Amino acid sequence: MNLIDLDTVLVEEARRGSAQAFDRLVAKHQQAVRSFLRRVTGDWADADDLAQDAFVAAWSGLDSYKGASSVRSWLCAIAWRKALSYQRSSSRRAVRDRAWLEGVQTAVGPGAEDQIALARALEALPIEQRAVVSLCLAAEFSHSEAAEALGLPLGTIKSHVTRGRAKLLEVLGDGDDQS
Amino acid sequence: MTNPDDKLARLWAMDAAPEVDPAFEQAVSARIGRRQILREIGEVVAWAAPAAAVTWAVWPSLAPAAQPLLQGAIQIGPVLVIIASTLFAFWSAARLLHVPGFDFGELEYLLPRGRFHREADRLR
Repeated sequence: MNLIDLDTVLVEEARRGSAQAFDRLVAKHQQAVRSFLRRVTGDWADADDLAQDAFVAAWSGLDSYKGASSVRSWLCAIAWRKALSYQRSSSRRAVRDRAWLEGVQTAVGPGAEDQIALARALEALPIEQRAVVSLCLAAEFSHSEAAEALGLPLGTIKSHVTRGRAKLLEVLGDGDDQS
Repeated sequence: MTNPDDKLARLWAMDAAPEVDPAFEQAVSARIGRRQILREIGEVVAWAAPAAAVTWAVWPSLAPAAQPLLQGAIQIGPVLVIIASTLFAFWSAARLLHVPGFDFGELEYLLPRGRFHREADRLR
């Protein structure tokens, strides 16, 4: 049984009321959803809050999963909608920006400089491009999976990947290496 | 020289969430548990409230016929209401206590998230 089939079975069982099945879905996909939200929001604590919201929304809306896309894409689509409404909330965004700046200023350890640079580079990207880069470059989503998750046309995804990668490499000092 | 894609991959790995995180999974499970309880309580209220309203509305026409039957019940009616309310409160509390990781300090999370929660998180 491949992973997508297992996910579909778990969704079916969760729909029938199995809490264990839904727990397994959370365990399997929490890393993808949280990592995606961390990169999109730039704030780990808020990202985890949003990820919890996303999983609760997924549980409430299990019937809306039709099986046309992977469960991972479906969950990231829910997370993306949460991230967008978070972004729209100006007060939360202000708090996030302050927290993000604090996080940047206190990052230490090996590679901290690069990590800060990456965070700054991501922050500089428009939110859609940041989301595409986070899914396609960081989480190795296929372009079509990312298109499903973000509700964007395939062409837009491809152009965001190219431009986003170029900008990131430029900020990280590898702009000359990219072709 | 490091390949730029390798460098990016290394950086992505640094801000990835952990592969296994029981605390996060438990937090989701607890929130779903709370949501489920609220839904159950809502369902009980959803049928109990209209039932009470209908009884209240039709009572004047039923009262003459029911009077002889209710002679005794009228006196114990308030007691029955108190018993029913207490049982409902115990049932709700018992359900809440069965949510994984629940403690009464988390009751605040029954409210929509907002400034109050942020402040509470900051103080913790």
